[in-house]
Amino acid sequence: MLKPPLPLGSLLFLQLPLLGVGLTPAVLTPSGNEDITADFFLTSTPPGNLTVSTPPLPEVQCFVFNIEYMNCTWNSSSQPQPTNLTLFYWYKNSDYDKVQECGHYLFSSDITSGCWLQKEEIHLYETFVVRLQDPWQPSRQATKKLKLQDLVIPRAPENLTLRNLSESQLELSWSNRDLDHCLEYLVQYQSDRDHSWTEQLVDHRPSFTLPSVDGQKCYTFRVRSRYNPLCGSSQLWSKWSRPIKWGNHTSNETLLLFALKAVFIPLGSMGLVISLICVYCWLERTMPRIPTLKNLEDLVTEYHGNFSAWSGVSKGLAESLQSDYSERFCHVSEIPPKGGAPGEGPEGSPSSQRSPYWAPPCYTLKPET
Amino acid sequence: MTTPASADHVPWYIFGIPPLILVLLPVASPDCEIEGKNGEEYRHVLTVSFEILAPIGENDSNCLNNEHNFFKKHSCDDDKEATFLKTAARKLKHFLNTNIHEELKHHLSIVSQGTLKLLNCTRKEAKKSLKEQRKQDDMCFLRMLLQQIKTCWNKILRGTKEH
Repeated sequence: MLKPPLPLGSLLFLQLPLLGVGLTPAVLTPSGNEDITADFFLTSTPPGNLTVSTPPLPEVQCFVFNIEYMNCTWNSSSQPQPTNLTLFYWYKNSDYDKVQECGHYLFSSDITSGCWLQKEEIHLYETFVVRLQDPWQPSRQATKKLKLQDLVIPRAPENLTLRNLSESQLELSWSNRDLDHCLEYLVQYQSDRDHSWTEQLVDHRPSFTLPSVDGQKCYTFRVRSRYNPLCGSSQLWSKWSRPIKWGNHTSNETLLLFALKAVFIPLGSMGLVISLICVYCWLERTMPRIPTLKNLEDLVTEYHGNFSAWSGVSKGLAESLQSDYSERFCHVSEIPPKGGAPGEGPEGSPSSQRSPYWAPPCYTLKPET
Repeated sequence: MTTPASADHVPWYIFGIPPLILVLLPVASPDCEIEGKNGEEYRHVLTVSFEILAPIGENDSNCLNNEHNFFKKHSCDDDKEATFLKTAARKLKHFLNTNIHEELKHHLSIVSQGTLKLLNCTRKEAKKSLKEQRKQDDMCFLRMLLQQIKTCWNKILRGTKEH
């Protein structure tokens, strides 16, 4: 069996590391515990190469939601060409300084637009470093350092409760899961007579006292929270809590009833009257005038039987109602059955017999004068 | 008849162990007892000074990218928060002898002294040399130092351990 000569084998061996050197683009600067893969992306284009202007990457924004999960997002539609950008992250000067790629990308129109990080990947008090990168142009990248404790958005306060401390003093209290002493609160309230909210900043104690309330008014309260200042310096408020009401709720109803009575009913009535008047006028125009019926005695005593004058019907109308033809009375008789026909006509022949109910025309047209 | 292995033959090094323990005990045991964990002093005193000192180094856009060896050696790790704060607060004191505005010096003093007071440390350390002090004339380093002190306080006041 032939064996390769020893010098050739050693030469082959020596070539392997040389191949590796040829692949790395530049001298890597030591950077602590960062992975070599990250170091590759850290280097810029080799010196001497022409710099080609590349479009800037969108800015990454990260928010920590109630310290349960974190979303780092960017505007993927701002890119001139749709590109699936990749996200890497690590924690600086920390036990969690290993560079990791996002394990759960968020998509918008099938393009990566964010990264979701679970609770176990969030270390609030370590410096969070995030890098957005174009996989097709590794030199196109943007790195950002963040203090996660300043990017917390807590959950909205819950279970708002009101109680009377005294006749005019009211206490509002609420609860916030998980973060309690780390939060400060903003309380807003307004009465049904106010046009804007009154607000009060409250420290970590989840209660607020309104020293003087008007029993005739209806008050509405709502609260939101912020992760500040003890455990972080976030300026991001949570959503508002569900509002809670206190007071004389009927005052609202009274106002509504008053509006109904004072405004809607008179307006409605006026509208009805006006519409009836309009209908009457329309009927007057379109329908002929019905003659007024006066006292029947006046027909005889005053008008001497002149019906048209008595009824008020105009002469023209009276003439138009007269018939323009004369009509003779026709005697219509029934031909008796066989055995005696009292009504036999002058013809008297069987051939001239007609239908029992036939009658000759009995009218003639009156010549027009 | 054999003589029993007896108390007469006690190894000599046993007597060195108690003194050794006494010497090593201050090093091994923490010498600071953090007070003010309810956050009242932090909220009403330190927070105010932090806000006033926040603009330091703001104009230096490359500030946060600078690497300082101090933070590679000292960090607010779990169970080492007091140690870090003590070291950082002492480092902060060096800037009191630099050419910065008197008002800023006043608030630096509040943060430094206030932190050390709340730490309630029993052991005092020797003063640093002037040579090292000159190296601290770095506003960027001061900015990062203040941020790290604030972050460490936030971590202590939150009261839970990082996972």
